[in-house]
Amino acid sequence: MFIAELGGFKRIISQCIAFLLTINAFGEEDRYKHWAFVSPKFYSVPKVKTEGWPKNEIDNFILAELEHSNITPAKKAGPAQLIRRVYYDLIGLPPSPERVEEFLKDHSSEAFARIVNDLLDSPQYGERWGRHWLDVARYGDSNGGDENHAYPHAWRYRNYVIDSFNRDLPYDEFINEQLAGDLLESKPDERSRRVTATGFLAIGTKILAEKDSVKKRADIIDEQIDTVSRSFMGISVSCARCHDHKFDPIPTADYYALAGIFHSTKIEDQSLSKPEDEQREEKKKARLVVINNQLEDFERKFSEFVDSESIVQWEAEKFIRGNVSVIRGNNDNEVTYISDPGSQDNFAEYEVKIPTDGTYSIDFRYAAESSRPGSLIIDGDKDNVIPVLADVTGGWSSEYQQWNHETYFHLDTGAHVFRVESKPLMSHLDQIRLTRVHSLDLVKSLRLKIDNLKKERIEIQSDKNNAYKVMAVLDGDVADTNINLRGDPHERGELVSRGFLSKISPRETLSCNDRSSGRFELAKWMTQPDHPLTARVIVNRIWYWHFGKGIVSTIDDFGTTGTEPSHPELLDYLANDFIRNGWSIKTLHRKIMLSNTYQMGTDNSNPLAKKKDPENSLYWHRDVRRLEAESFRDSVLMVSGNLNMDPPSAPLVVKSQDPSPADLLKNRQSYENYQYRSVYLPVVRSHLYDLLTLLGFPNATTTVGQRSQTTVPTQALLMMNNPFLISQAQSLALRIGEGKVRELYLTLFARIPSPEEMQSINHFFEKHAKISGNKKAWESLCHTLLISNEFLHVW
Amino acid sequence: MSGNMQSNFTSRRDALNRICVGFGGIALNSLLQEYSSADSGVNYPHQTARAKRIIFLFMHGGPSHVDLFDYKPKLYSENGKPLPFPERSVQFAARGNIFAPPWKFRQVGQSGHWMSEIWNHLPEVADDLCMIHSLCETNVSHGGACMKLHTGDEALLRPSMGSWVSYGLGTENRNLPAFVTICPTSLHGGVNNFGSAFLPAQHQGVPLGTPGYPNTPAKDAKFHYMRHPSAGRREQELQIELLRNLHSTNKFGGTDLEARMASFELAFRMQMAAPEATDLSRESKMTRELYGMDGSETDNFARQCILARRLAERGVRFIQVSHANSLPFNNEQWDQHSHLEKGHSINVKQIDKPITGLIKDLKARGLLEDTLVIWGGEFGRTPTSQKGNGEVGRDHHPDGFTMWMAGGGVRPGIRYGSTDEFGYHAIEDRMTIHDLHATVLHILGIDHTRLTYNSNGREFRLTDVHGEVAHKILI
Repeated sequence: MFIAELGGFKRIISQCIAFLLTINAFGEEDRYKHWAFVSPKFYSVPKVKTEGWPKNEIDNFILAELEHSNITPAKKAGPAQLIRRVYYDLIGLPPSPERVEEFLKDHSSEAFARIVNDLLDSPQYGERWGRHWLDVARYGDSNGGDENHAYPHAWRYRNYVIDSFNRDLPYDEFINEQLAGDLLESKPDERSRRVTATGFLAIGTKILAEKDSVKKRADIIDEQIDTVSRSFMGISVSCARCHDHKFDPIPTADYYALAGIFHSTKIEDQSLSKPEDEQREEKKKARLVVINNQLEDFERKFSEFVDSESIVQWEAEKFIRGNVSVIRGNNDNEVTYISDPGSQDNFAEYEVKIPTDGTYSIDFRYAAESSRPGSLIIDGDKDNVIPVLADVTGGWSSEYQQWNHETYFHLDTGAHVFRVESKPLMSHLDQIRLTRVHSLDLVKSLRLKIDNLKKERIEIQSDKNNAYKVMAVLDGDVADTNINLRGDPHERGELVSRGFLSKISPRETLSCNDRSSGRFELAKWMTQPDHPLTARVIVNRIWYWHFGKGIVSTIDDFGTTGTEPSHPELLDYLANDFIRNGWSIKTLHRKIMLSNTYQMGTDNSNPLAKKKDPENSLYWHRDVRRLEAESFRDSVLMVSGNLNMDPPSAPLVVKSQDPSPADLLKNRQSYENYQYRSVYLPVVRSHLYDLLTLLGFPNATTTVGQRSQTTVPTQALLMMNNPFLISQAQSLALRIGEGKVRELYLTLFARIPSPEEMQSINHFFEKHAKISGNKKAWESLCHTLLISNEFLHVW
Repeated sequence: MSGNMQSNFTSRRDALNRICVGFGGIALNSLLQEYSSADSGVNYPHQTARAKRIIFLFMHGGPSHVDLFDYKPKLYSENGKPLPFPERSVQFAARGNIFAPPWKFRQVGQSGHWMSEIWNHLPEVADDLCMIHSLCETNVSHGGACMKLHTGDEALLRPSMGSWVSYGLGTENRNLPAFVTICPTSLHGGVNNFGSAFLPAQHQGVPLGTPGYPNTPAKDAKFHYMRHPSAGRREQELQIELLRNLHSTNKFGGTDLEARMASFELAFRMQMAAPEATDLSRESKMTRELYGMDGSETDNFARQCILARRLAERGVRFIQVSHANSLPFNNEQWDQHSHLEKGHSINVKQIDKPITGLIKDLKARGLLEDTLVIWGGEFGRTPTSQKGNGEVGRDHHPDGFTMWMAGGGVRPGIRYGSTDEFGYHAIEDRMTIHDLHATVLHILGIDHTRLTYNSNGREFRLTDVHGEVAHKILI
């Protein structure tokens, strides 16, 4: 089957095929039987020979395999190592020297569990583990791609994630909220956070300058499908955009079943109010209803005083002369209006036939968020210029279009020339209306009432102090979508009903309805307890974040091209146990961290074990792990006394779109002077803070379950010469006090230096001081230890 | 066969990821030798390489092929008339009628290449150039087109051409990065255009100068973090010695920790090599004059071209030189939607002498034989005028445009492919960006279908599943 397809190599759009010959050909049935595509099985806890060793079930699974291979696990890590390990693991920061000493003195059996619980309860936990999820959610504060416009509201989603981890939001609910938070039945105080959660679907990379709008939409949806399938299910569905997936049982129809759900969903910033302001918002809404009703009444009354036979009304874009731009509405909700084409002297002229002479009310319909006054000149009479277009209506878009009364003017029967001018900018003018009025005084008093009501309406509408915006999605026009032949959105094939993966699925099949997009059903489908992938994938992610390797080593690929689990029974056990514990991530942390498997030392010197299992895939010792970029930066700030542990009240804003060298310098200064934790730094796609990217911080373009870890000279150059690190080292030097090597070691490494190390340090200090003096030598020592292997790694 | 390749890639990746494994305590010199041989390509080249390195002269904004190299008499005779066929449906801006180039064309050199009279110096090296008149693409926006040109994809973030070359061939000089981009712009893909995406980080382009908008002038362009703000060489040596001593007392480390120690020693060497490589004060007066490094409007690009030659001499694999947002333009350099005559005159003035100087200089030093020089932008410009205010200009035009190559085993003095009589559609020997990439990799000795990288369970290529090598342009 695969050989036959080689002939058509060129025509096949995706590259998956290039991988063709490298794997065994799967029969159709085999593909469905792939271990990850059938629900997790229930295994009993295996028996072990060394019965005293296991502290919980995890240990039984691990030890059983070790005993099978005749390997003895390493001894438990020392307390100083353990406390540093657990601090970095749960909150991404080092323990203070005081905390270390306290722990070393506490010999009770509960001491370790207490620390785990304290850390899980601290707000720093969410900042650390929320950040892990943000890698998966490809969180970014700009659109990335060809241009780089800021996403000014994306950070609300970031804070939502941090908060969700801190409150141990059950993972199934976490999925429901991110996919369909807007569609869940919610109490008023839950609704805001749930709408914020849907930012997950909105914050992806987008090519905003794409001229082909059909392709643009299809690309955005493809990004959503890719993220949803990778992050929650650890599989790639995107291949099926162009052809049936070559390796996993994902037909093209499944892709377009999912695409239909996202075609029925639109990305739109939502205005929300804080729960405590709900009441106020309700009042405002009620008052607006009253005002609108009154206005309607007055307008009706008003019509009694006007001569309905002699209303002259026209569209602003129907000018006979003019240099203004005509901006056409794209849909029924948008009006076509005129405005300036950039700064200049704008004008538009109209020829108007007046049927009956008399006093006319002149009204303009326009939208303006800020005042752009203009003038009206009738029949070239420059001595009687009428000021117009000066009001504000609350915004620029079509929803803010409204009639504004400009003046009363006597017009004779016959033709007149109306000239509208505005300089340099022009309100968004939609229509002009002339109405002949009889009882001028009555009209004027009525007009005053109307104007006052309108003024109040604008004030209420523009009172946004308590409202804020979030990036979010909501249902749009609900419809199924067609297959795009070979992935080309202009080539439409068969229509596919909205739905989910047909071959990788829990037992219970759900279906979409005509009333909503299907995101709610998608979330329900994904969180079925017997879904083959959802629980396994998250359990494996959490295991990976604790151990630096997954039970399935290809964290984001559970498909047939991924790797087999090293401990399949343990993985299924943990997945089922996780669901049994109400999808609680904190419970899983406790289980993992209280196991002996987690608490092993890093002693890898056992020659027999080394020979049998050089990669340590059986977990016979703990792997030494490098700090993530954020942990490194936060730790440097912390030990230097410069870290502010509070969350910032507002996001740091940097220039993302077309930054000049001066902007970039300013951005860098902003980053370097920022004292909050790294999770709060803006993630400007493609222009990330280099301190973070050089240490493996991802570029937020796609789901990243596993960060790349490289060792390149550019990192070393950064460590040696980066002014930020050097200045932090100076703070550290000052804070500890010259010559206090013991304190320095306790602060940085949670231990005291050995005599051997003291010898090296003294040698360094003497030689350095001879060149540059004691102060510089001490600062240089602090700098050297900050960039040392021991500070950058956890044992 | 592919099965074997797969396992080789894995071992090669391991080798790359642990570039510095196990050299602790060995003298630095021998260390560096080890690197060069370890990184000279385990699987590559696949075939005989005709060039060892690339210099890509990137003309940001879209230089007008019909005004520079692609002579179309019809544009003069039909000036002001509408095109006899409909224009493409997705356009960047509305177009007017046929617009004759403001310059005359003449044939130059033995090769008889057509060049407009806008060029004063380039005709001197015309016979070294291989003109490709049949580039063709689809995306009309700068962003999409720039990303396609640099990475092979117009929307998704993929490794750039230089990163693939670095990944495939490694470097010839371990003291310098394998891929350097001189004065890059931050526009239209920006750093993505020299990013390594999912390839290991050491393959990303290292910028000389900060990618900004406008970008750094060449005279201020430097590598980052090459110098400690205050400490001298001896102090840094002491630091590295201490790092190593403390490291050696740590038990239970591993190869990654050892690699990190070695990377400090390497970095220290790079600090020595990089300033020397970019120091233009070492260039003779004659060379400076050859390129036009004399303070006039050619100065900036001349410096970039001399830097490119110095890096090429020192074994950098892929060097990109960007003609982008330099004065007096504060945006896309060649993007003359209006004021075509004025804008293109200034642009050509800035690059004409420096590029000619570069080719002459490479030739004189024997470097042109194994260096492939590529000149081009993300698209060409329409044969029709663009509707709008002010002086006449031309709109973006991806359907048919010109690039040229020189050196590196490419046939000099020939013309490859052509556009129709209006310079609109590429009609003969059409060359897409995938084809261009396939050809460039081929010249470097790499089979583009076999240079792959597995990311998230999928094998990726620079050319996706496309790409035909243009064999006719090869010697």
